[in-house]
Amino acid sequence: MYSLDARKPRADETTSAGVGADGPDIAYSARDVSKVFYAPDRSVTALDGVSLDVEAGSFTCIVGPSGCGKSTLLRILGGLEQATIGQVTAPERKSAVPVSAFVFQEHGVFPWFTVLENVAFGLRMAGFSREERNATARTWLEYVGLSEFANSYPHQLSGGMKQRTAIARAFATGSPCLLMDEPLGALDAQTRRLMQEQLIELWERERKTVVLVTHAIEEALLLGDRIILMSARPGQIKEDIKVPFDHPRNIDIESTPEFADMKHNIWESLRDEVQKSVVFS
Amino acid sequence: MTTMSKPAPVSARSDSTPDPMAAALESERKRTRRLTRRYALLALATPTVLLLVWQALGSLGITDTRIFPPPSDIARYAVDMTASGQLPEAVGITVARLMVGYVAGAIVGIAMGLVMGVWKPLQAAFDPLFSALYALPKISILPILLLIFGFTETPRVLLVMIGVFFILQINTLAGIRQIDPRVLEAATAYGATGWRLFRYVVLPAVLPSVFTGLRVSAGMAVTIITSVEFVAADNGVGFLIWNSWQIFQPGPMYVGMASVALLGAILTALVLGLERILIPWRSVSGRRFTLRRRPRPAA
Repeated sequence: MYSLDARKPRADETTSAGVGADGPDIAYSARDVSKVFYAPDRSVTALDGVSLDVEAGSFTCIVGPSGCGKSTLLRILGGLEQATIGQVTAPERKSAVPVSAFVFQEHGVFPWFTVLENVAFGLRMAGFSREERNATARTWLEYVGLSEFANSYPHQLSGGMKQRTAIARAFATGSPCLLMDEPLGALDAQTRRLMQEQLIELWERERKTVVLVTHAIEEALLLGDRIILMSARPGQIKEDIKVPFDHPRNIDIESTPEFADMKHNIWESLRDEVQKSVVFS
Repeated sequence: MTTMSKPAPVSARSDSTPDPMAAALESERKRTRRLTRRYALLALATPTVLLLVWQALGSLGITDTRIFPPPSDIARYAVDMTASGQLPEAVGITVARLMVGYVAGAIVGIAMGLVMGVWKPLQAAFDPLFSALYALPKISILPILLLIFGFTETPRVLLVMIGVFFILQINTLAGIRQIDPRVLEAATAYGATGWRLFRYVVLPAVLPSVFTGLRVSAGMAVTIITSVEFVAADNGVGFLIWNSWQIFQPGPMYVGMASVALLGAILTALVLGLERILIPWRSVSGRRFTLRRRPRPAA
């Protein structure tokens, strides 16, 4: 069930993000954010006192065991969910285009729109004319290699193509920040690899602020500049790791000893949490 | 499932070199067409065979032709009644009642379902009541309607409308309940709220459920108007059937029954046609299911 007034503008959405006088620009900032999901029989604490600053133009990956509240944190940053307590600031909205464009794991593309209409949807909602939005959407369809499927409906596409549609829409909307919730989670290993490469390429071209939620450590290391490791429920930030690999990046970094080391260390740190989440859920 | 949006260009090369891919596609296309034709033929064959058997049983004196007049006699009756204007008049009256009731009931039912879907208090207030009333046989409230409105067109049309209303209200509401919350969230994330969320997400998302309701209620509406005309009308196809029975004229009775059947089929076909036009994103043809172990080799 839903109500038509689903998205009330948050009061703090209008306040400017904290731009430090000498520090880097901060896109998203969360202070002591906790989230409790109310249920009559058993309320669940999804997040417990999370504080996080996301630099503008950075690529941040959030990694954690399933059910740790990483998706919830992403939704709170993007304003789709309200924090129960704590403050969140997002960049100021400067035009009709939303500040944060989302990519969801599945079900993000609308079955009743063609691929082109799906990619242009954000621009359509922002009030762009048909010519403008279709031109932009076509450009992005070309980038993700879906030009010839512009007029197909999603049910005619493979899972990978649907996700590329969702990613193209996020970029086409022109939002300064992209929030991705396991965008490649439902894909097979080969398609996933290809899309990871494509994502690196797109990000290096655009340098938008990206926060990406994933459960795959390799993916986080490959894509991110920074990895936020979360504990099992209730979700807290366990570690904040800087990824040392330079851009432009390619998939070859996976074979470096440094990559293997980091992967090993992150897994060591994550193992206990995964154990906990398996036992208690 | 990956499907090409357009059929591959057939034989782009010169005619002298045979293109095996084009040939394979062509043979697949032919096979599909042949199957479609075969199934259409089968659909026609079943009633044809049954009618022939019926005819033969009558001619051989096995069945009593006074109660079961052979199809040829019924057809003759139909022609006579059409020529005399009796059948067109009856059909016209019934169609008018049917369409007014059906369209009005559908509009009010869809509207009610939508409003109940997006406004929770209304849903809480009416959902249990409507569920209870839905189970009530519609014909059983005819006497009340006759008491209120008298022996006029109003109770006849109203009863059709009531029957259609409940089916559409229930299906539309169910359609809204079935909307994936993740789809709504995706729409909200891209700035669709209020009217635009309704227009671009809720409406297309419930359309398939609405059409399921329209198809189910088409048959229901024909049933209701026929039974109403049995007891509370002195014209229309229902009256024709009932009256023919009372004065023991099986011929016109069968003509009436066939007309009602045809009416239901036409109305359902119209709804299906409209559905194809309005829901182009629905995957119509799935993968063909076959019990054959291996696919037949191409060409």
